[in-house]
Amino acid sequence: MKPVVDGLETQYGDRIEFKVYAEADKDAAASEFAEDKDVRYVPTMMLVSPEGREMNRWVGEQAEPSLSAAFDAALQQ
Amino acid sequence: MVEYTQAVDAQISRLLSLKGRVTPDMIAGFDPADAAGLLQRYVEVHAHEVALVIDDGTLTWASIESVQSPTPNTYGQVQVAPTLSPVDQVVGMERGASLLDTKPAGGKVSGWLWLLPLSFGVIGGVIAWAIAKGTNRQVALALMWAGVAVTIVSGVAFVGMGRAISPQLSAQMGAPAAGVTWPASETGKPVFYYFGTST
Repeated sequence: MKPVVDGLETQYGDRIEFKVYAEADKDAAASEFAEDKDVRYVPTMMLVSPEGREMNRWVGEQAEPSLSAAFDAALQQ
Repeated sequence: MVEYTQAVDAQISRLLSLKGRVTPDMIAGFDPADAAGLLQRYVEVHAHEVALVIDDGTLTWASIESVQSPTPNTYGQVQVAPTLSPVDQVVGMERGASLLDTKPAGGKVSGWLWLLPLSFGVIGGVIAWAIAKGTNRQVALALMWAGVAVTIVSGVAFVGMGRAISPQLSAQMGAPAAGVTWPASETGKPVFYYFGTST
């Protein structure tokens, strides 16, 4: 999944801020943050608006087109 | 010698249908000796309609064994078996303890065969049918239908479970979680969070 995220960051990095916790299960701080955000499985991904509203949440492996479609929709809002 | 009339015939028929047997003393208006002769006459008159016997002076229906097998007459024609009484028709029916107990109609099929359709649905039912059809065709068909029923019921249950779970799955495929708060973006851009592994 990480390569897909890297590809998306290359494509959308100038318009969307990427916060990647690639070792969420090993990093104590990241683990605590994930627990606070109700992350129960990895990989879990969220797209949050600039105001802090969660717009999308994906659990499990996702295809790149479904993520990029959500990115495009968020950028048009 | 008393006269055998239509009224006598009707009286004996009515007694026979109500009681299942007629003794001479049951016939009103006649001495028992005369009534015995009337019963004998009744048997002769109705010999081609119903199977009757006089046993120890009592008129009753003939037993089923005595009428089951038609026998050829002297002219080589098969005689029509006399009509059985309703009671004898029921007594003579093949029957078992239950609908699934068809032992009288065929051989005994092992109860273990029911595990096949119950475990493997239609496939198990067909296998059980193939095994049992030589022994008891009726039970073999029941085994196959049991397999079909198990397949249908489990299929409906599977679809129902899938529909019950699918809203949760769809919620995990892009729908936001409720009750989770996020900090506002410092850069003014949407933020994408990834929690996972490096692979």
